[in-house]
Amino acid sequence: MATRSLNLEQLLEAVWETVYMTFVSVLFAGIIGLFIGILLFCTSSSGLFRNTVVNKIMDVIVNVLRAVPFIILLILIIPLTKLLVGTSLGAKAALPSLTLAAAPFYARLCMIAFMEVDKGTIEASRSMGATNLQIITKVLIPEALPALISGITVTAISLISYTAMAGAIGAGGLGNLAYMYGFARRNNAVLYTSTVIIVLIVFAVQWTGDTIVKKTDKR
Amino acid sequence: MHSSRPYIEDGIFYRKGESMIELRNIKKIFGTREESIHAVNDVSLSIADGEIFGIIGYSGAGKSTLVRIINQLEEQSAGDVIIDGRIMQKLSRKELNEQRQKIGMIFQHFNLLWSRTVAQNIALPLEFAGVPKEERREKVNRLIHLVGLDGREDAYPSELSGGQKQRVGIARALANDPRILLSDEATSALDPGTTEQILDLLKQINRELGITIIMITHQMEVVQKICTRMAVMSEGRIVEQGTVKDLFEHPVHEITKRFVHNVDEGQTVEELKEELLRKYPGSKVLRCSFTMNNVDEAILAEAIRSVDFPVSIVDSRIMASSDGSYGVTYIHVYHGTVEQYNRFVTVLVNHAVKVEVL
Repeated sequence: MATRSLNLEQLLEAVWETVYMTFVSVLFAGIIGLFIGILLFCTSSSGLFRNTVVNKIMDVIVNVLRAVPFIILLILIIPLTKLLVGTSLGAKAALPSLTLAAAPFYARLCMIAFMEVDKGTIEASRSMGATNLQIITKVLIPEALPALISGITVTAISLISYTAMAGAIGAGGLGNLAYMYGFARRNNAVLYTSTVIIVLIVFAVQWTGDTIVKKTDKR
Repeated sequence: MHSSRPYIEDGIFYRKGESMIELRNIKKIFGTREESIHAVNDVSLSIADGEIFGIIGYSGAGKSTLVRIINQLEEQSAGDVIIDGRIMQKLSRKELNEQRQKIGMIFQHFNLLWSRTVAQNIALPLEFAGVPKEERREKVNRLIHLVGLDGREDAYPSELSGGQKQRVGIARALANDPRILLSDEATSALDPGTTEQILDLLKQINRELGITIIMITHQMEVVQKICTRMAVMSEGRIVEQGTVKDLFEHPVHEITKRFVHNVDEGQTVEELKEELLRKYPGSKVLRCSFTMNNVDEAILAEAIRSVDFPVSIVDSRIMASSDGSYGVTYIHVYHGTVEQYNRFVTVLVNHAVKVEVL
């Protein structure tokens, strides 16, 4: 059967789609997650500008989004996806759901990272007359940086597996290739090759993240 | 910061130079619905421009809360904080931040940013204040030299010893040319030798830059070494205040006595006294306190010569404080007649030595 062979062009396109979906959604989830994480931390009872109402609302939103299984979220937000990117098919169409799934996850990790920052440094900054914005940009984020980076690494790795799931419902990428061509058409060469490539991408992301963490951590 | 002319604000008459820090009836109540804790209870203090003022107390006495009220890291429940003539709680947020830049603070655990080098840590308050880069670099270099960290500017805090970290803390606190330096147990995490060095540095800063320093501590040695005046805090109140010399020589309150006692009587003297009295029943151990007026005279030798009296010195120490030295000598008297003993003591007392029989 001709389908048993490996179509290189198809494979490369799938790799590109996976990398594209992961990269763009990590970028968006990173920015949104960091922002929400800062808000969650700063409005908490020990934060810079305590605000119980905002804190509770954010907390509920984050928890609900994290509770919905990704495969269901993917289907639930199809109308929103259509509104944002105009289509519900292809790599681009996977971006809103990937971002929406990963941002709350990363927000939680950011909040934990900020909670680990020595309260004494924040108090010292306040004693020096720093504004809240200065404390966030010059103290909170730099002091939490290693944890923020290892958090984005973990988020990126979950996003890679999410892209595979998104692939199964038509987003393309290596997951799609493995499922549609490898599994459904019983082409083991395609199935194993795509799996190995996904594993390699995960390793590369983990290694890069660990290296940067080591470089930034001066403790 | 202000003109030197007297002025009136809220019906209170102020003149610059009178006092740098004025606390009036400060109260701080931490409360849950069921119970409230008076962390600071009706404290009034007046600290003069250029002095080193010690606030001593055991942990939980409220001294850390009090010092945080001075720069408004904690807001008082009642009372006024007046710094250099300005009522702190009346300042806008922006004015408060500007005022805080003129009040440096150092901490027990240094509170340095591990992500920044020594030079970058010292530059932090300058960045907050919006000082241009060139000026920042110049200032940081001067401060590094002032605190004796030349050559360590690119080190990270994790590579420094405790004493070096506190030097960075001090340099950072001085970056915006403050008028006041608040020290919250700044030597409590340091070994005795390093504590001495840091205290010397603070003294030098006070002398050369004329900065008013407030030392929060539970160590009497710290107050004794560099402070001119002190207050003793217990359960949120100031139980005694005055010059270090007065409080040291004539402590009145129980807590003050305990602090003074801790310094001049170690466990070893107590133990030795017990042992001597057991060994030589009927003998006496005298505690002779010398003050700055007579510590450098040969009084003891004179007293011994005058009666040809056998004594042994059990323990003796001299403590330097900011306004002179104090000496305490423990003498064991075991031979001799009552008359000899009385004459011996009389010579000492005539030279203003305080003699106590233990």
